[in-house]
Amino acid sequence: MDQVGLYPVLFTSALLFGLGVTGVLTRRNVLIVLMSIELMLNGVNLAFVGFARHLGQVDGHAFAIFVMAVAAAEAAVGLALVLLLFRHKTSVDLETFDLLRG
Amino acid sequence: MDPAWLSALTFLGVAFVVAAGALVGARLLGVKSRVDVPTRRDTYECGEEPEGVAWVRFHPRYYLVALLFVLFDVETVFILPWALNLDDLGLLALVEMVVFVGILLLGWAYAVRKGAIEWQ
Amino acid sequence: MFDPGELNFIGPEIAVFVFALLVLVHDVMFKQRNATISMGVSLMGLATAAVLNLLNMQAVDVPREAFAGAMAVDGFGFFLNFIVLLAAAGALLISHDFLRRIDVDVPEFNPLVLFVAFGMMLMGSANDLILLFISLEVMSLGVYVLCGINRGELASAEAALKYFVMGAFASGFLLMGIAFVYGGIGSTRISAVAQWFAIEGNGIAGNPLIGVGVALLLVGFGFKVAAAPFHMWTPDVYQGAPTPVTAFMATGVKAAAFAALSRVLLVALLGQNLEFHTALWLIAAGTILMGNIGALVQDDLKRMLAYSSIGHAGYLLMALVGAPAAGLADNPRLGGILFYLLAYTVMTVGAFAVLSFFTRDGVEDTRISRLGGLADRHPAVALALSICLLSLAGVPPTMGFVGKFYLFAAAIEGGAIGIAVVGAIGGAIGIYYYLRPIVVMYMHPEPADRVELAMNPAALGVLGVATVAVLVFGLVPGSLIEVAQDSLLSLAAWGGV
Repeated sequence: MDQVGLYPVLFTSALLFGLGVTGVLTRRNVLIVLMSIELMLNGVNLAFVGFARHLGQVDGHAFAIFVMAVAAAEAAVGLALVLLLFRHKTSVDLETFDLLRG
Repeated sequence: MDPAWLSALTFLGVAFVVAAGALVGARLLGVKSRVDVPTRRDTYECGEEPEGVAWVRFHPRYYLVALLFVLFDVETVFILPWALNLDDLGLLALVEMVVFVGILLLGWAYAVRKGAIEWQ
Repeated sequence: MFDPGELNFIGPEIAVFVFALLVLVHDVMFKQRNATISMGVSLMGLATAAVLNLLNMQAVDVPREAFAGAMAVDGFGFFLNFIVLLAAAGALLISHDFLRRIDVDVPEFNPLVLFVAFGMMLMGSANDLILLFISLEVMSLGVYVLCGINRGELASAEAALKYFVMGAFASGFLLMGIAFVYGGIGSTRISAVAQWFAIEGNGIAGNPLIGVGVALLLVGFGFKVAAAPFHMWTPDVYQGAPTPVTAFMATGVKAAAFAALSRVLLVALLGQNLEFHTALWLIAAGTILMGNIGALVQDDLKRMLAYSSIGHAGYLLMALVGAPAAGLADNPRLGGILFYLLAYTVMTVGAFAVLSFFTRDGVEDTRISRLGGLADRHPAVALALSICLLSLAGVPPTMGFVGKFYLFAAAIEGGAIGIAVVGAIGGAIGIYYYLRPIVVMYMHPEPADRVELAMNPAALGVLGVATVAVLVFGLVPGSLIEVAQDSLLSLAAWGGV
């Protein structure tokens, strides 16, 4: 395992991040959009950890922990908002949330 | 090629083969029924008769509990490295953690007071 | 090592945070919510923070680091703290009567505003990109919830979700940018990035990680400050959120996000401008034009102010385009950025205070046509709103004019003549659409189904103070401009250039 260099890690991280971005941009289901955002953040975590290993620092690992905590808080707020809208619309389809437009 | 790259690509390749293999294998080996028997579209339940539909809606109170769990659960991630290094960090770190946990406890008390944990 | 004396430097932040907890405990735990006491304690928290901030400002002559370099203690941060505290106080005072009228009885409102202010203040002094990110999230998560605070109203919930999705998406980009910058130079300190660039031979061109990182950072910040082409969410979110929250978002969130962006651009990337100068130029020009042209066709005053807020972000970016490569001292007019953020906060809070009067049966109605006949019914309110709008348009002798003058001067002195021309075009368009509500107020008759304005002392007080401040600092801006310039120049202490 030890010989895994920086670039494969970055490649995987970019792949995860890109998948997340694609998901946010193309999916209409809010829950899947939320999951895609989590995927983006996981890609970032991988990049932080990869860089930290490459640089031989602890900082990057600590950042990943902070990102995880923030991601959890973000998910909690996001799901609460989805629930709130679901009560109004009985739908999780982003296209139906079109009251404000123009 | 750099062996590190090789391992990443192998991993990717195996993932693809497993995913595609499952689909292709099912198509090749699976028994195709030409008549539409009533049980054909049932959820597979290890031979048990399925009861009800799979698309049941969960009551929102599950979400509330799940959200609280996620929030308080993730905070452990800060406590673990702290606990491992407490000897080196000294008294100050202890005070810091007391403040941190104190704020968390306040949040917990808030949730209790709002009735978020009660199962109405 | 950590020195407990450094806690002084985050005294204002701690004060706001502790008071937020106090209000939360008082409002929720004891279930004897008294809205007036809650408001009083919240305002007391903001006042305490302001006093502590003033003491810090006088105690710290030379910018210094705190908390092992995570935080920059400098005039820039102090100045932003004042803007944030003003914006929070304005939003709280406007909300006091407003929330009762739209029938929102949420004890968490005041604590949330304080928590958000706490995040904003940290953001302005963050020297570490990770601290910047965390404080940004503290701010954003609170604002998402505040947007949706009117739970019974679909528009409010929709605005909250839209803002959340866009905000979380932007955070992802910002964070990836931070990760790449970290990978490129091995540190997330903004001052360390500046020092790395100062080493001969280090630059964006030679280091793809830094290049990608900076580009991702710009995208993330672009979303947060609502710069084109990432501004689409702004009008919808500003319109859907309850008016006091919109006022807070337009002023506090924008000021904090802009302060963080300015710190990154003026400390970490100063002197590297050439590499992404064109991108910044295009973003600024697009933001000015999209904001001002979009505002032209709006019939709803709240939505118009949302578009105009995009335009104002454009003017601020315009000044950043003129940042000198050789060091901040070359262009002291850049202090106009801080002055303008303050001016924009004051006049926008004033305008939104008037907007908050327009509710009908618990629902907001902020169409421009509702303003008809306001000059006859309430001449003082009409005059005050006119002054705030004229200040937003940049007509002398108002604070908005002085601020805009310095922004243009900064751009022109920095050699960015082209963007200044675009800015002037935007300003000319601005005068037209800001005059429209004034014409309606003074020339048009009352709408047939008129409603009584829900005027209340707290919001009227905000309006009065804002109007007077706009005029006073428009006529005698001298000392305030000096403070703003000194505060901005304090950033030069961090640079490696």
